[in-house]
Amino acid sequence: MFAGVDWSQQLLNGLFAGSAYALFAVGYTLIFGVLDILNLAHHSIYMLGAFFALALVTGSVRGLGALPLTLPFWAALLAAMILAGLVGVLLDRIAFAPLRRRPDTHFAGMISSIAMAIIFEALAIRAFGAAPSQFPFDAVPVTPVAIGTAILPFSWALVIVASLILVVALTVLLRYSRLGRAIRAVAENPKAARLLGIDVERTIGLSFFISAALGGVAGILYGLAVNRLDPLMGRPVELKGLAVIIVGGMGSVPGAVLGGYILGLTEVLSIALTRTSAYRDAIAFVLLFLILVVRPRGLLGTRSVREA
Amino acid sequence: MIVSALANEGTQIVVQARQLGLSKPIIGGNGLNSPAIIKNAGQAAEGVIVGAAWNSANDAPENKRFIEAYKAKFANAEPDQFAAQAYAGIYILAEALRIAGPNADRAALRDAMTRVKNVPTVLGPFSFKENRDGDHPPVVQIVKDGKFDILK
Repeated sequence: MFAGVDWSQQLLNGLFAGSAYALFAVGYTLIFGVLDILNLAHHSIYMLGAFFALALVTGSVRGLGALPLTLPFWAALLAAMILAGLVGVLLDRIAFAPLRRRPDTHFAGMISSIAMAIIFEALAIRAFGAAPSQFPFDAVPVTPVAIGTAILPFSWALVIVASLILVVALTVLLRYSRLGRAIRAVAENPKAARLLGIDVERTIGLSFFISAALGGVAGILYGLAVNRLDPLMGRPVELKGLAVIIVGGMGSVPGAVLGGYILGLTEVLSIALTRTSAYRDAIAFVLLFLILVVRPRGLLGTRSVREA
Repeated sequence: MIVSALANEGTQIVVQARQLGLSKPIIGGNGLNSPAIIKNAGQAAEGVIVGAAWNSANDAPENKRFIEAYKAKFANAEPDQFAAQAYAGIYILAEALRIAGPNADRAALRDAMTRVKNVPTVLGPFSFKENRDGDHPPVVQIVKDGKFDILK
């Protein structure tokens, strides 16, 4: 029945999709962990990051004209990551900070972040055009990576490796650095953190920078891997990312990674097993649902999801 | 590998096939007959074979005039096959109107359409067959040095 299916290939394909989801989801869950607010503009920063990198690699913006410089892909990746992070800080200042001192900031913040997502997407359509764009064919090496009998495009392998490195780096940062301790303290209790001398606003701002930079890298690498960037590219990953962080346990970074890998592998393996992509999302989401039935707090969630 | 897709998705497929190291020929239909493929897939588009209704490199005067007029109107954008077919369509309709003569009604125009014979268009001389299919010379192109060339 499964003759001809190269399972190592399927596993790597699933690992690729899962890595992309995980990278998107860790930044998403980080903000939820710190602020208890869903940043529903995370997917628009994912998209902006991809377009920042494209603009820097090609040295031009479709709707605006030439830039004064072009960068090699790796420099553009780094620069676009920083730019995406700065957009995240801006997003916090505009959509979240003014609402923070009000009593019900949860819903207000969600809604203002939806508004920011729409604004970012509209600006991207103006600047980069609604038609899909691509990174140049040879932006990264074009030789595929062979692992056993499996073959991956270089860009797919890059997603798997980069995602792993960044997630480990984020975990180390949160666990062992001064900033990481401050972020965890603010997540635990902002008032107590402030009493202990932590600059809460600054910590939140830096959390947004990290979250958005990771979201931006996810967009760049995924856009590179599937050869397609467009201003609405964040939409499909927005809901999947939400499912991933809920299943992983809201606010849990390792949970988001685990949830991302589970979703990616389930999607790919369900196609390999059923020989059709028709049930891909149905199978993946039924599994996620079952996980939540057994573990309502998510796989690695330590606290109950707040009553909405 | 045969790719039946429009330009955007075709670009993604062609690029990924080459990134996976597939070096076999890629053959596409009308949808791939677009300068967007060459522009967006870059060197991955080299060698892609496209069976098509319209050949951008055809140097018949009406074709040259069409390409120049299109570029002048749309900020120097290159026309694709769909633009060429729409442009040819107007010429075919005009010819039918000419055959139908003045004060033609719907039935007369319909009958005139069946009598359209060898109208010079950007697709080459165009006629309608008995079964209402369009009849004009097809071309097979290959991407060579970043341009569509005739496959010989």
